[in-house]
Amino acid sequence: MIKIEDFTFYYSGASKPALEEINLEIGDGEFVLVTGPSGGGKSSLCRAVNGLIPHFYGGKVAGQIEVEGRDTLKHPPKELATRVGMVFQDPENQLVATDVEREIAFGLENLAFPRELIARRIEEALDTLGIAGLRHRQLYELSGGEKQKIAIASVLALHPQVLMLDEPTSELDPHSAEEVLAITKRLNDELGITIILIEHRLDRVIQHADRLIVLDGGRVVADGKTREVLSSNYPDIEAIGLGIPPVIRLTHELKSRGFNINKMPLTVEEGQIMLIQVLPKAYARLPRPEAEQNNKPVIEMEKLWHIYPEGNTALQDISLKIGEGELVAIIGRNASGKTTLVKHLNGLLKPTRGTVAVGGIDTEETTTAELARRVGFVFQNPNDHLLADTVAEEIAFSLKNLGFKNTSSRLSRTLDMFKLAEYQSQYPRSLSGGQKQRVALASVVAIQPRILILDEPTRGMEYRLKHELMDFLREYAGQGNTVILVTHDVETVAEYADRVVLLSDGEIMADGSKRQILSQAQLFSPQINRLVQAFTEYGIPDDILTVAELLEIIK
Amino acid sequence: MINFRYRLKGTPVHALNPFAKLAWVASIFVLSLLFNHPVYLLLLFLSTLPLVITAQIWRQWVSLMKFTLYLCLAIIIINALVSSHGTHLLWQAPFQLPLVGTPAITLEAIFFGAGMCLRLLAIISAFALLTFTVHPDDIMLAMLKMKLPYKSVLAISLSTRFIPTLIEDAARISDVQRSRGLELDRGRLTQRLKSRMAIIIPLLSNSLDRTVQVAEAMEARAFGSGQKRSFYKEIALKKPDIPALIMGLIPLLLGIFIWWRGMGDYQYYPALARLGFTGLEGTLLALLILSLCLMLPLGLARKRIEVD
Amino acid sequence: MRKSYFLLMLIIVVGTAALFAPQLNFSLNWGLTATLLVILAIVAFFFEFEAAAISSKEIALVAMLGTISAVARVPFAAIPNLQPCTYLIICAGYVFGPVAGFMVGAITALVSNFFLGQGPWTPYQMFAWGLAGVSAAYIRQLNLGRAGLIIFGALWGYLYGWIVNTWFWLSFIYPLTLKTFLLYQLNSLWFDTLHATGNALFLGLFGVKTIAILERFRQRFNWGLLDTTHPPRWETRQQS
Repeated sequence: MIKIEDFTFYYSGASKPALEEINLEIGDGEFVLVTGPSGGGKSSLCRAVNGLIPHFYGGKVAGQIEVEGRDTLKHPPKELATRVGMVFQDPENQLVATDVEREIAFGLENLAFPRELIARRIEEALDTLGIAGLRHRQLYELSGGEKQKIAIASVLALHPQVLMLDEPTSELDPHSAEEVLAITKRLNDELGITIILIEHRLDRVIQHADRLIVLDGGRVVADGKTREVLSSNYPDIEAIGLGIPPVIRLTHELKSRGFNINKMPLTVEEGQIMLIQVLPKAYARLPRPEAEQNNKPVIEMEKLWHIYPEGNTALQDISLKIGEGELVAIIGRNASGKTTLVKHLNGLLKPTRGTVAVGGIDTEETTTAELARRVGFVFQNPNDHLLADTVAEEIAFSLKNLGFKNTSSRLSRTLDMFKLAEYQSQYPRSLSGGQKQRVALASVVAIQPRILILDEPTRGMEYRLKHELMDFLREYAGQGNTVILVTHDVETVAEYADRVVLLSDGEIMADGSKRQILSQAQLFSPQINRLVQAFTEYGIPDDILTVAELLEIIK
Repeated sequence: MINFRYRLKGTPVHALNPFAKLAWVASIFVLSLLFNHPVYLLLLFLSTLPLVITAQIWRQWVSLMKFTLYLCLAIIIINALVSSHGTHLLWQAPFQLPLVGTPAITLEAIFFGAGMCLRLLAIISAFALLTFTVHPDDIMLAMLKMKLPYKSVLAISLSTRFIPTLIEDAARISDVQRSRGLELDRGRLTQRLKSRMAIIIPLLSNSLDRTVQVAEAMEARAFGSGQKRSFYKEIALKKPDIPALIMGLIPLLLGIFIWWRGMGDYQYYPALARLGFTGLEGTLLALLILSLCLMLPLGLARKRIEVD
Repeated sequence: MRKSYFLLMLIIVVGTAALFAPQLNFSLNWGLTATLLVILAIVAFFFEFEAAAISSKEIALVAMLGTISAVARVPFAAIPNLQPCTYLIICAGYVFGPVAGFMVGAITALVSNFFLGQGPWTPYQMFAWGLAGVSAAYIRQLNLGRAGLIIFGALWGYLYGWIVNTWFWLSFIYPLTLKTFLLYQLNSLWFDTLHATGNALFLGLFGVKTIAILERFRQRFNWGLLDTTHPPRWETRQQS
C-alpha cells in the first residue's frame, strides 16, 4: 500500500516543482499505468516512492509518502529496497556486474543475506521470469531484452511487494518489449505484486492496466479505471499530446460522430467487437488510384552482401533501387540487417560483395566524409551527436568539416528552419530531449543532403513531436530529396511513408508501397489494419492503414 | 569488440585454482628478484614453459617474448656501458660520451646483462600465465579475499563491467561523427587529435549521464554506505585445490630458505665466479625447480576431477 | 579528509625515498622493496577511498572515468604513447580531488592491462597515474592557468616514465647510481617525450573544455566529491 499525501518536490536549484500537490493511494496488487509527456513528473513520482527523492536527488520537499507504513523521508532507498523494486529505462545503466548470477546477487549481498539464501533467491528469480537458461552467462553477451529481464530478476530477488518500471521497453525492439510487458502482467496476476508501470506509448500496455494515472506539469491530471479515464478524460489526454492507440482514437472519433459506444475498447479484438455493433453492413469499396512512382534512382544496390569480420552474414544478395523524392521506411525485426543496410549508403560499411552506388558514385571508391555531402545520417540518440559548446557551433560542425564556404548564411537559415535561433548560444546538452533531437537533425540537414537517413527517429518521442518531425520529413522529400527511415514504428510508417522495405535475416522479404506491404505483414501491420481484417465482407478494404482512412469510408 | 587477453580454454592450467596460480606467479617473481645466479634464473625461466605450453598460450607468449627481447637489449647495452666493475676488458671506446664517460665494455658486464635478461624473461613468462589464464573477475575476488576494501574493488569491477558498453558507445559515436564529415586519419597531428576529441567529448558526456543512473540503480538495490554485506561468490577452495595452493607457496618458502642460507648469489664482479654448485646447493635447487614443476601434474589432476 | 593529507604526504615522501635510497648503498633487494612499497601505497589509497567515498555516486563516477581512460588507452595504441589517459586522469583529479584522481589513475592502469597484459609494471603504472591524479588536485589550488596546466601535463609525461622505469632500473641494472638511473631514463626518452607532448597538446587544446564538462557535471549534482557529504536536505517542509 502506497500513500502519497500533498507531495511536492523541487529539484535543487529548480524554480518549478517537478511534482506538485500529489495525492494518490495505490492498493496492493494493483496494476497502475502512469503516463504523461516527458518532463511531466512520471519518473520523479517513481523516484519519490522508493526514496531516491529526496535521498539521492537533493531538493525541497513538502508532504509525505508512506510505503507499506514507512515514511520515505525517514527511510533511504536501501531501507525501502525490499518493499519497492525499481527497474530503469536502459538496461545498460542499471547492471553492475559482469555475469548474471552476480548481478542478481548484488542487492542481496548489500543486505548481507547468507550465501545459501542468495543462491535460492537467484534460482527462484530466474525461474519466475523463465530465464533459468541465462544463469551462467556473461552480461555483455546478452541482448537488450535479456538484459532487461535480468534487471527485473535482480530486483525481484529482493521480494518487493511493489515493482516500479520506468519506461522499461523504450530501449527494446517490439518483440522484446512485448515479452517484458507480458512478464509484468504475469507477476501481477500470479504473485500479486503491485505494478507501477511508466510508459508514454500506450498501445502495448493499455490492456494490462487496471488503473491509469496521467501526469502533466508535475500534477495528476487524470486518475481512475483505465477505460473510464480514456472515455471521460479523452480531450485532456489528447491535448497533452500523448500517443493514444489508434483503436481508442477511432472509438472516440466514432463517438463524436454520434455512434453509441458504451465500452471503450483497448485491444484490436475489443475494437472489432465494438465495430460489429456499430457498423451497418455493406460499404462500397472506394477506388483508390495508386500513384505509380518512377523516379530517377539515386541509390542503387546490386547483389549486396555484407559479412562481418566475426563471420555472421548480415546482408544477403540485396538489390534495391531508391529514387529521388521517395520517403522509404525500412522495417524488420531486430538484427534483420536494417542498420547494416543503411550504413552502406554513406560508406560507414563497405560491401563484402556486390556494389552500392549513391548518386552514381560507387561507395567503394570514396570516403564517408566525401559522401557526407550528399548523404546525411541522423542517429537515434541525439546525445551521440552533441559535442559543441553552443547550438550554433554544433550545427556549424558538419559545415566546417565539409569545407562549406557560406557557413553563416546556411547556419542562420537552419536555425530559423528548426526554430532554434533563440537557443543558438546555449549548451546543446542542457536542452530538453525534443530540442536536442532538433539540434541533431538540424546539424545534419544544414548541409542539405540529397539523401537523408534517420535511424529510429521516433523512438521514445512523444506524439506531437513525432508529427512535427514527420511533417518536416514529408516536406523535405517533397523538395526532391530522398528520405530513408529505419524504424519499428509501423503506425508512423503507415501515416507518412511512400514505400516500405521489409527485411528479414538480411534479405529483402518484401518491397513495395506501404499499403501493399503493411496490410500483408502480420507483425508489422498497424493496429487499424489488423482491425479491419475482420470486415472485408462488409466491403471495407483490407488495406486500410490509419484511423483517418477508416473514418473516411465510414463517414 | 576488444576482448580481455584472458581466454577461457579448458586446459589443466585454466582448471587450477586462481589462488594457486597467483601464489605460483608470485613465487617466480620474488625468487627471480632474490637470486642473481644465472643458472637459477635460467631454471626459473624454464620451469614456466611446461605451464605455458599446457595452457595453449604459446602464440601470445611468443609475441610477448619478442617485446621482452627489446627490453633485454636495453638491459645488456646499459649494463655494458655503465659498469666499470669488471676486470676483463673487451673493448675500450676511443671516444667519450656524456654521462657515461669513456665506455669500457667488460666481459663481466656483458655476463651480468645476460643474467638480468634471464631474470626478466622468467618474470614476464610467469606473468603471461596470470594475464592469459586468470579471469579478471577472479583477480578481483582474490583482492577481496585478501581483505582489500570493498568499494575500491567494486569500482574496479564496475569498470570492467562498463568496458563493453563504452566500446560500443565509442564505435557508435565514431560512426555518427564520421557521418557528419569527420575524418579521423587526415591532417596534421593537432588535426588528428581534434578529430579524436570529437569522439571523446560526447563519450565523456554520455558516460557521465550513465554514471548517475548506475548509481541510482545501485541505491535502489539497497546499496548504501557503512553497512555489512555478504558475498555470494568467492573463489571456492575445494579439497582438490588445497594441494595446488600449497604447491604454489612451497617454492616461495623453499626459495627464501635457500636465499637465507646465502645460496643463489653469484659473483659477477670484479671477475666471474665459477658456476659450480656444492652437493647441498644442487639438491636444494633441484628440489626448488621440482616443486615449481609440480603445478602441472596438479593441474592435470584437477582437470580430471572437473571432467568427472 | 584532514587525515588523508598526512597520509598523502607520507606516501609521496616514502615513494620518492624509495626511488633515491638505492644510491645510499644499503644492501637491500631494491627491486623487491620498491615493488612492495608501491603496492602498499596503492593499498593505502584504496583504504582512503573506502573511508572517503560515501556513496554510490562517487564509486560509479570513479569507475566510469577510469574506464574511459582505460578504453582510450587501447584504440590509441597505434600512435605510441600519444594517449589521452594522462590528460583525462589529470582533468579528473583537478575537478574531483586527490582521492578520486588517484582511483581514476589506478583503475586506468589495472583495467587497461587486462587487455594489454599484466606484469610487474602494473603496480608502478597504477601508482604513477594515480599520483598524476592526486597532484592535479593540488595544482588546482595553485591557479596556474592554462599554460601551467600544459607544463604540468608535460612534466607528468616524464614523471610517469621515470616512475615506471624505476622498477627496471632497480631490478636489472648494476650499480644503482644516479648516472645509471639517468642513462636508463634516456632509454625511454623518446617515448616519454612523445607522452609529454601528447599530454601538453591534449591539455592545451581540450583541457579547459574537458574540465568545464566535468565541472558542470559536479555542480549539477552539487557534489563536493569526496570532500564533503551532502545529507538529504529538507529546505522547506510546508504544512498544508
